[in-house]
Amino acid sequence: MDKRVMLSIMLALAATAVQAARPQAADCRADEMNAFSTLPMLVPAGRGDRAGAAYCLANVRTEAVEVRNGAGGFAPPAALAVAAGGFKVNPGKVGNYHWLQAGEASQTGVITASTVHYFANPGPAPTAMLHLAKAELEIVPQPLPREHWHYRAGETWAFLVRFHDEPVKDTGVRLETSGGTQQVFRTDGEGIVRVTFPADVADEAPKGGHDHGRGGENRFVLAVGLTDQDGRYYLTGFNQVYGAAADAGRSLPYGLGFLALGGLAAVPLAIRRKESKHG
Amino acid sequence: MADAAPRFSLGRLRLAVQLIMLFVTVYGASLVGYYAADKITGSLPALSCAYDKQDGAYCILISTQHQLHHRVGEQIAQAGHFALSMIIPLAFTFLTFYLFFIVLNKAFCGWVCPLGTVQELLYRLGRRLKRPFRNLSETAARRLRPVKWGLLLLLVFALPVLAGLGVTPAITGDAFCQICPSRLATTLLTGDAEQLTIRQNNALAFAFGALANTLFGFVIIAALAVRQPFCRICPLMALNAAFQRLSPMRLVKSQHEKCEKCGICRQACPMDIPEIHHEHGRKAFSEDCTLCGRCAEFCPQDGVIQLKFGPLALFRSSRDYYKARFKRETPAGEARPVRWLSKPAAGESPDA
Repeated sequence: MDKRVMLSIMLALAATAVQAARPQAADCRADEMNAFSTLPMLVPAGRGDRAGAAYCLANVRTEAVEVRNGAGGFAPPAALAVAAGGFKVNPGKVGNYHWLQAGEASQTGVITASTVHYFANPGPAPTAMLHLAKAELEIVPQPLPREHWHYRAGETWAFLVRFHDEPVKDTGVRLETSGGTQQVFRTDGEGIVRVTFPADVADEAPKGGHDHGRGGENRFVLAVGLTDQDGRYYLTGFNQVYGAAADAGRSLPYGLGFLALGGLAAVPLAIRRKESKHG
Repeated sequence: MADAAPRFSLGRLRLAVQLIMLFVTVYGASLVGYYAADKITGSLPALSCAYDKQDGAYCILISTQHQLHHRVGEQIAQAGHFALSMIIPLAFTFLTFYLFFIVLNKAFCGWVCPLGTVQELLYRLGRRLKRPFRNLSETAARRLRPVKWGLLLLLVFALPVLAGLGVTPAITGDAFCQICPSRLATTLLTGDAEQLTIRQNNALAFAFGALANTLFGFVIIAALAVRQPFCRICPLMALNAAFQRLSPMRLVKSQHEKCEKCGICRQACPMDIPEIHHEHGRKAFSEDCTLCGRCAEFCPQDGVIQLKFGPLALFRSSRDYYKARFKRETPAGEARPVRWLSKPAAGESPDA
């Protein structure tokens, strides 16, 4: 068979395999019915790729979602139109941490959902973007996960809760996970809530590549609600994913065993041989 | 840098730079900011590990594997054909790499790489512990060279692309990182033993983990007696070697009649490079050279070996420097004992 034909067949097979592995465009309205929480969320519809990432709105209604990529300083956010209950964010050429936020205002109050999506683009550190007040009531990660350092079960991460740019002290923050955990944490005197992710993630084999050996993962939403002096109610949620615990499915004894095996193999190099005696 | 001053030594300067760079590459986030490791460069020509949560910058091998996996392999699989646009981000990664590389060339291996520094410190520990000195024969040094090129082509280039195409399992998308000893060394230096653990729920992940730990165990014990054991097969050494003629920083050796009989430079070379002894001109600057400068320090002839940046000689061998250096350390790295002599009493002969 001609080599080019062979190559075409191989590429087509590979493309089919990749397409099969890729999550299909979600029906967001159906997805919302299956949302694990009644709290406001921006739920990823699949993992996304370099070309963009699709999200569904859950428990929040709006016609446009605000996107900040951190590259524009204090510039107004870009607006993405919501269609069929979802939207797709494209990475552009700069900016890696993208802050996505959907707000629903009514006469009685404001509901906000926010999350962060990471694209492997050049761009400024997200410090200024996080510092900027983006909603009346918000939950701000302190800090954000890095590309190779994600939220994991058993780890404790800090979040700042602020209202009109002021820390919200001694207030309950609700955690709900797709693993079924519901828990309440409290902010301290500086508005910081320290959340320990629960060990409710199923241990799955790592997929590699961008999975970075994490294996399975769950979704979580952190939410806080309060009423201001005028009686308006504010509810905000920050949602993301977290992986299995660092030691899930891993063996330290095996690790130490193979380490010792390698060390033993090198011992002949590191010991002094007895010098032979002549005469 | 100047010629020999009484207390000056290029080796001491290099050790100081290595220790500073070890701090920057392993704990650098505390200096440059939590997010800066994502920002400064993902193209450092030294093994700075992204799995280290406190590092200050990423190594180019990580970016290369990710881009070949996701930007090239997966894009080819989706589009059904290859397009130039697929490798443009990769080209930018290498351009960034080159902006660093043009300044220091392979001194990134000899002065910056954290794994290189760890191996050197272990070798110094081996001298303290009276471990034997083992160097590679000329034949062995030459025969080992293709291994690093093979690892570069297979683990850094081929497997990530094949993973993106869906031909090999996705875990091979960062195949070199899976076995890299620097991942284990630098994370352990931050007190994180997670990378030492091995995944049990995936056969290939288990195999990678077993290979990585065995290799790491071998390297840390072998480094007590052998200088720079992993550097000899390091794919980043190969990548750097591919660019080494494109930087004004280089090692220069001129021909001298006493060179063939001498060979102290090769004894001093931590990579046991035969060419530094037998060759001159371009050939003396071997693909294995890390620009550590030890050959120049231990060359007893004035100006025969030089570290140069363009026309500027940064360091040149000299007989006086060699004598002072040799008093403190042998070419193989054995520290010479310092003899403290009591001051002779007035009128007393020192030899009495």
